[in-house]
Amino acid sequence: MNDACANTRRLLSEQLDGTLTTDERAELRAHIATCPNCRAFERDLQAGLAGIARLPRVSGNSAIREAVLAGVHPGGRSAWPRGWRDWSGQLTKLGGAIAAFALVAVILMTVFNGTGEPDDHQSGAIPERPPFNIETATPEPIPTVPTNADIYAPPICHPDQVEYELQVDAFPGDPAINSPSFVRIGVHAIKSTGGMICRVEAPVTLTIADEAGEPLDIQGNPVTGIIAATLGPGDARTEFAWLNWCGAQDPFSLTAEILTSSDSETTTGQSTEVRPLCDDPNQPSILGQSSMAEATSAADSCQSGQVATEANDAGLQIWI
Amino acid sequence: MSDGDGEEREPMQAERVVDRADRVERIEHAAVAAARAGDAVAFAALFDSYHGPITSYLYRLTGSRETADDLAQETFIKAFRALGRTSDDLNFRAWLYRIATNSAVSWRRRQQLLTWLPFSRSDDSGTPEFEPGHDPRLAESLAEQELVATALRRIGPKHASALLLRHHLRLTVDETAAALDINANTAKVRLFRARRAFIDAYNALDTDTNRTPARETRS
Repeated sequence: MNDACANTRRLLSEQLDGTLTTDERAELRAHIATCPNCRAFERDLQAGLAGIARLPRVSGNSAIREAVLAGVHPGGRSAWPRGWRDWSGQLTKLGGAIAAFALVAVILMTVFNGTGEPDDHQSGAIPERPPFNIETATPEPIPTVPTNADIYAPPICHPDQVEYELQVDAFPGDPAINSPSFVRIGVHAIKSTGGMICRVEAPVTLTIADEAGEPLDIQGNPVTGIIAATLGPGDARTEFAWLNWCGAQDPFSLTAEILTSSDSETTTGQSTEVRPLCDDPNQPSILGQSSMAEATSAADSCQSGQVATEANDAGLQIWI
Repeated sequence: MSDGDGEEREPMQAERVVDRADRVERIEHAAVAAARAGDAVAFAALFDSYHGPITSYLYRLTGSRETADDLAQETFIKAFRALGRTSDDLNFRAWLYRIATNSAVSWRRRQQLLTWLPFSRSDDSGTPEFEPGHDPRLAESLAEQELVATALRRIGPKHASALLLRHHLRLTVDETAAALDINANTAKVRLFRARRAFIDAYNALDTDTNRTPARETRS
């Protein structure tokens, strides 16, 4: 490849990044017109990079979503222990490494005891080591980090013990950051359990309806969430938020529905009208649900035998 | 519903695109600001925006769905922990991909420490579940996709990450540079070398594939 061809390939790359001057573009086209090798390179480049662009994307794993968002608490605090992550895959391999080292050690000690036989009485020797295989190489399962839910979960409320009143609030983001198109939706389930400490895991369906009450398409986004919280005398809450909502452009209201008893009776709540903005119809609307619900005060949730919480912090009551 | 003159109110296409991009950027900026202030709902919305793309990026870098999931989890946990210490002018997208890239690099180092073991098993968990809505009729054939994916793996993570960020995830050159923690000029040089290496690897694979039947016939 001569210098002109090398320079042309550099220019072809820079053209993709939009950094060519008019003169450089002219120089590039002039060379391409006369050089079949560089024409072929340009064709390959376009086809190959188009192939990269068209590679299918994988979707996120819902278990990862739950694991990450379960640790997100209001105020920027996290519930994951410092240094925690799911090391299970790596630990399996690490276990293999440790077992392999052990195997090498056994072989070396067998060789160096001079007899060719394992010496069970020699200090430091590993007696009766079974032959290596994948099963014995796998270490004892390392307990996963228990969640607050594992430790502190109270019994689930009987549905008939719980009465709900739903309040649905839709409000346009935080005025402090001047973001009218970032809409938050709060679904508050105010309930009565007769003073019992119990836990509820009730599905909440969030419906978006027009002024006539007809449901609106939300472009395949999930509209069903689970509200789950320890129910003391306080209330429980789940929140949704969306970005780039591209359903109908007219004002609409939100309706939340919660199953309140074993005979499928439901309670609903409805918001005032809201009008979010569609920012890019080509991008998916994003309706995210907070993975938490919280009681209203520490007094509601801090009972003997349970973990103490900070005032107004019931972040440990998460069972989603 | 509209009784006005549609043409007067219809902005030019280019203006609409710019306007949309501005508004998407403003929305994301607002969500990032809220998440930085500790708003868990805003973080959840950001997570939902980027969970798929980050997992895709990591899958293409590592070739393993299981590893991609692990590293995506690590990426978002690190992001949440560090978000409160970032500045207002943070480019969230580039910053998140930088965390993901660093996670992949660390993972690769750990892999290299372990690869000498004869007992290590491939952790490729097979064909991942692709995003719904992907229309296979519009994509290249599976064989073509495999060629592209294999060529990306052949050129190494340094070049593959640059190409994936720029051409698969459509980051700008500046964002690609930020995600790789290098300056823009270095990013342009790396992209040039990566493109050249990718085309060489792709053509070599393509040639091998086309020659395989002949080789088999001869042998």
